[in-house]
Order: sequence, then structure tokens, then C-alpha cells
Amino acid sequence: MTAKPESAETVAPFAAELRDVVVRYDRDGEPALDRTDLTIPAGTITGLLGRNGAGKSTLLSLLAGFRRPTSGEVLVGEPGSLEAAYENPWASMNVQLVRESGDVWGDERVSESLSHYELLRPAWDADLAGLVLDTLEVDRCTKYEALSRGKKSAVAAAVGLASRAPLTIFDEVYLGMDAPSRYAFYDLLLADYAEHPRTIVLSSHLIEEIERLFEHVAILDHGRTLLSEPAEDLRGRGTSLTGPADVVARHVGDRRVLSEQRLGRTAQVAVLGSFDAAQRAAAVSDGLELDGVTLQDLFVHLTATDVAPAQPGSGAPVAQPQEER
Amino acid sequence: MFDGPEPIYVQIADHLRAQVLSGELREEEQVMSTTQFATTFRINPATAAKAFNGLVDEGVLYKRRGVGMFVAPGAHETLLAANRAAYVAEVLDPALDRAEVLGIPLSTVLDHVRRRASAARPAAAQTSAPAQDPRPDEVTS
Amino acid sequence: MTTTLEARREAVADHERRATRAVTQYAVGGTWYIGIWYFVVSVVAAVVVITIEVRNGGVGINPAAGPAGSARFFLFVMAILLPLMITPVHLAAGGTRRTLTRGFLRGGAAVGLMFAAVSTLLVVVQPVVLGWLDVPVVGDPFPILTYLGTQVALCIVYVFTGNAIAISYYRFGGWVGTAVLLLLLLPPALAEYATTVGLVTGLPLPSPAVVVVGCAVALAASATALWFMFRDLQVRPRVG
Repeated sequence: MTAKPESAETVAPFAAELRDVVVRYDRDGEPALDRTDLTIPAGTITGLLGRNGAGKSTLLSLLAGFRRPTSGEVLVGEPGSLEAAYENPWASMNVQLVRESGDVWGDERVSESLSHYELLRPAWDADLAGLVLDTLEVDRCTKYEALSRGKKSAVAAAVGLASRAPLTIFDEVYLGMDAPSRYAFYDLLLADYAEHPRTIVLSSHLIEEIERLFEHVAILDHGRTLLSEPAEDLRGRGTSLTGPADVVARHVGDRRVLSEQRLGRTAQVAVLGSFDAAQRAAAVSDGLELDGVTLQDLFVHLTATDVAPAQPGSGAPVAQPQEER
Repeated sequence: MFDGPEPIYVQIADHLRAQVLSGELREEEQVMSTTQFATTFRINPATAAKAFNGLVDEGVLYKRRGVGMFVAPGAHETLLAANRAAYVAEVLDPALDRAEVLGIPLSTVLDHVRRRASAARPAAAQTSAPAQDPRPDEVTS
Repeated sequence: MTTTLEARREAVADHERRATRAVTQYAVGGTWYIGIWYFVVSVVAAVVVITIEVRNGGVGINPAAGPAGSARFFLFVMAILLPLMITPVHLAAGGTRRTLTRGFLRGGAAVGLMFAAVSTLLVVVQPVVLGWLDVPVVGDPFPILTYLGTQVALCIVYVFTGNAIAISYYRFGGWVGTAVLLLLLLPPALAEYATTVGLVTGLPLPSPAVVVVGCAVALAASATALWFMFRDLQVRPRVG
């Protein structure tokens, strides 16, 4: 039962691709995914960001073959040989999705569920599962149902990490943990990722504390991919300008304004797009202050329900993204 | 650490340059691996690697195959020279501009500089003055 | 660096074997976990009935109509409970609908055989015990192998049907699920007609051809229903 095929270790990190994907749960209702295209590069830690109801969970359950799209293609696999994810044993044995609901037996000991995963996951590392549970202080002899929300999330984290799947997806599982547990989880994830490279997708609507883990970021909004690019490019994409309103307006030019805030004659405007050295020097010499826009701010601005000029600018600390469904 | 709005690899590179400049990292000293760096500061390893590779291209670090990354010989001097060259444009000019906005006459500024220079002279007999600037690369370029 | 075709084929085959075995074991183990108590209760009930009969000098007992003959109804209930518990876990752990189907087909067959065998054993033992106690045995004696055979067919048909009903309600919800339920109950109805009608009521058994063909058709139909239900199962976004 413990003899695993050697080949399991050598499977390369998986890439994933969605082509023109539509998912409809009801025939007349709004589609959960609306002609979505997305590429998740192999070997990266990718952040899938989106507000509640943006379609993140639906998208991720497609990658894991939990369901098939209403139309379009969902492909996963080693780079260069992508294939349909749905009901494909090669795909499902190499893709691990952990959801907040856990997908474990509620009325059984945690260890029972883990042994089912161990039986099926080719690269399962029982020691790692034990380490995660110990670090996050979960007693595996407890029934899953009897655990607190945070400890349940810890079980999901253990399943996701120990599976060592070439494509491992965490669908908001860490949201139930308290802050020290979340940081412990990030540390475990990074350490194991460094040692066993694979593709990891983390979905969240809380960005500040995990954005630094991302190499690639995709933002989903209303069932569509708003953007998908290297995290470092994204961090350099927003610029905020502060200074006299008319001067700011002159330097903003035709860039897309994300938010605008006024205080007397001073304006602070966050725009999409960067400034090259010359433009920057010109702006500074006109008395403007230039600053970057954090990923969290960029996300809030890009996915705001309506363009509200009263939104706090990028310089000020921004409240959590609005929690509405 | 590294939670400014600039790209993280830029911040990491700035941080390492500052460490070399201040002497915290000595020449030929081994720096943390990208993995160690990533796990210590909770940063994506690829991001850390991007910063390190940039510093290798700049000549601040060099790779020893199978061993790791080290501070390049002469890196301290190179960084000093670069920072000195940028000092006037990045530090002094903005300070003088500000003095002008505030209506502080140039003579007052010069008096202050002279007073500091005469107070510092005995202590700084053998070292060169510009190296005293504690964080010359604070200003973004 | 991609996995070679051969390594991949081997890995997939190995994975499907493991996954199927995991489901089979779950179906068998989960059923016996409670099933052992079913038989304990059956035996206790039989003892109580016999004791009462002995005290009152009763009219006699038909062993085939006793609790041992109703194993299939117990299996039916278990078969409705188990699939929903394992399906999300199995798919999340890397299993497929195909391994679920295979696992439940094998598990159902195994469980059906086991329960039919134990039931038959009880039915065989009962008249012996009654004989010791001088309690009259009613009902026609019947060939034990025929009893075993029909019990096997009945038990397996009920397990497959229970599995299919569970997934049917999960997939189609209350209204359509109930409509489908009526269709899904046809194979067990056929199996009942072809077998038990004769044994329990004391009516003559239908001709052997009807028994064999009826059982075979019921088995095939219930297995097909199970396969059809699992084949295109869509897991909903939020399922515990």
C-alpha cells in the first residue's frame, strides 16, 4: 500500500489554461464564468484574486475536474502537453484542490480522511502532513466535525501541502485560520515549495498579507479575467500622484484613473500605468509627489462596484474590500 | 520588510545594496540563498531570485556554482562611487530646493555646513566625508 | 521535461487500481461497520420470536420469512447513505467518476455476496435450532442453493439501486429526483417478482428461466443505472 511508483516524483509542475469558458448553473441565471480565458504558468505561485461571487471557486473546481464547463475548454498538464481536466485520471491524480469545506469525512477522525488521500495521491508525504498538523496544533485523532473553523482549515492545508500535486490549489482555505496560523501556513508552503517546485494557486480576497508570495496574479471579476500577469509587473502598474489638482490633471494625461481624492486644491489620483524616467522627472519638477499603488489598492480600485471618486486614494490605508455578495 | 509600493525585487536589491554599502555584508561574504531569503521574509523565491540576479548583473554579487552567492570583490567601492555620483542630484539638490521654498538663505545653509565640518574634522581625520551619509540610497531613482 | 508515455500509462493504471480499491473498501467497510449490528439484532429478534413461540406452543416459523431474509432492505439504506459521503472526498483526493463507479460496482457485489451468504447461513441454522427446541417449521422446504442465488441477486440489485438513488437526488434535486426514483425502483421490483414472491408467500416459484433471466436483467439494469448516475456527476461549488 505504501509502495508508490517512482515516476510520481518526476512529474513536472502543471500549467493550466481556460479557453473561452462559460459555466452556467441555471439556464436563465447569470453565468458564473462568462467567456473566461486564463493561463496559469507552470511552476509559479499564482494568486487568483476576486471579490466574493466573482467566480473563483467555480473556476478552480473546473481545474480539478469537479465539474465540466458549460462550454469552452479547461486544460491542465505538463507544459507542452495540456489536456482536458474533466474525468481524466492523469489530470485528477496530479491536481489537488482543497476547498474550505475540506472534502474530508466529518464524523470520522482526521487521520481516516488523510489515509484516503494517502492511498490516492502518488506523491503524498505523510511526514509533511504530520508536520503541518503539529505546527497548526491539530490532533489527528479528533473527529473533523469537532474541530474549530481554524483547525478545520489547518486540516485542509495539510491535505494540500502533503499531496505535493504538480498543480495544488488552495481555495480560500486559510481564511478560517487566525493570523499566527496563517503565517505558519505561508512559511510551511514556501519552504516546501522551494524544495519541491510545483504550481500552486492561492485564491483570496484578502491580499495584503499574501501578495508577496505570488509570482503571478490573475484577477477575476464578474466571471471574467480582468487581468493576468506577473506579480512584479502588476506592482509597478499603478502610480499615484499628489499635488495641485490642475498640475496632477496635466500629468495624468489619458491614463486610466483608478481613484481620485481631493483636499482643497490638492488632489491625489491613482492611475493605471507607469511613468518613465523623463515623465517622472517632469512631474517631480512640477512639484508632484509620485508613489506606487499596492496590489491590494489596485485590486480594490479595479473591482470596485462603481467608479466612486470618494474612494480613499492609494496613499491612505484602504479598508478591507467590501464584503458583499 | 519589503512592503513598500515598489516592485519587491527592487526593494530587495535596495536592501542588499544598503547592507553592502554599510559594511554589514562584507566582500567575499556569502549572502543568504534565495530559498532562505524567501522563507525568512515570506517572499516568492522567484522574486528573490530576480533581485539577486539583478545584483549579479550589476557586479554587486557573484555566483559560485553549487555553493551560493557572494558579495563581489570591489562591490563596496562600486556602490560608494555610484551613490556619491548620485548624491548631489538625489540628496543635496532637493534639500537646497526645499530651503528655497522655505525662504532659508543660502548663506544660512552654508554656515551650517561649515559649522558641522569643523566639528566633525577631528573625528573624521582619515575617512572620507561622503561615506558618512547613512542611507544615501533611500531616495528612489 | 514531460513524463514518458509509458511511465504515465503505468502511473495512471496504478492510480486507478488504488482509487477503485479505496472505494470498494469504503463501500464494504462502511456497510459492515453498521451491518454487523444488523445481524446481531436479527439474531436477537429471532431468538425472542422463537422464545415466545416455545412458551406459547405456537404455530410454527417460516425461516425464509424471518429477519435474515430482509438483509437487502438494510443494504438498500446503507447504499443510499454511503455514496454522498465518499464522493466529494474521493474526487478531491484525485479519484474519478469511473473509479467511483467501479468501486461501488465491486463493493456492491462483494457486500451483496457476503450478506446473502450470512443470511443463507442463518436460514440454514434456524430450522436446526428449531428442531432442537421442537418448534414446528412451516413453509415448503426449498433448495438452499436457489435461496442463496436469489438472495445474492436481490442484495446486489438493492445496493446498486440505493447507490443510484443517492446520486440521483444529489444531481437532480427533490422533484426530478423523486420521478427518477420511480424508474430506478424498476430493477428491484423485477428481481422481487422473479424471486422472493415464490419463496416467502409459499406460492410456487416462477419457472427457473424467469428467475435466471429476471435476476440477470435486474442486475444489469441496476448496474447500468449506477454507472449512468456517476458517469457525469457534477460536484457543486459548496458541498460539505
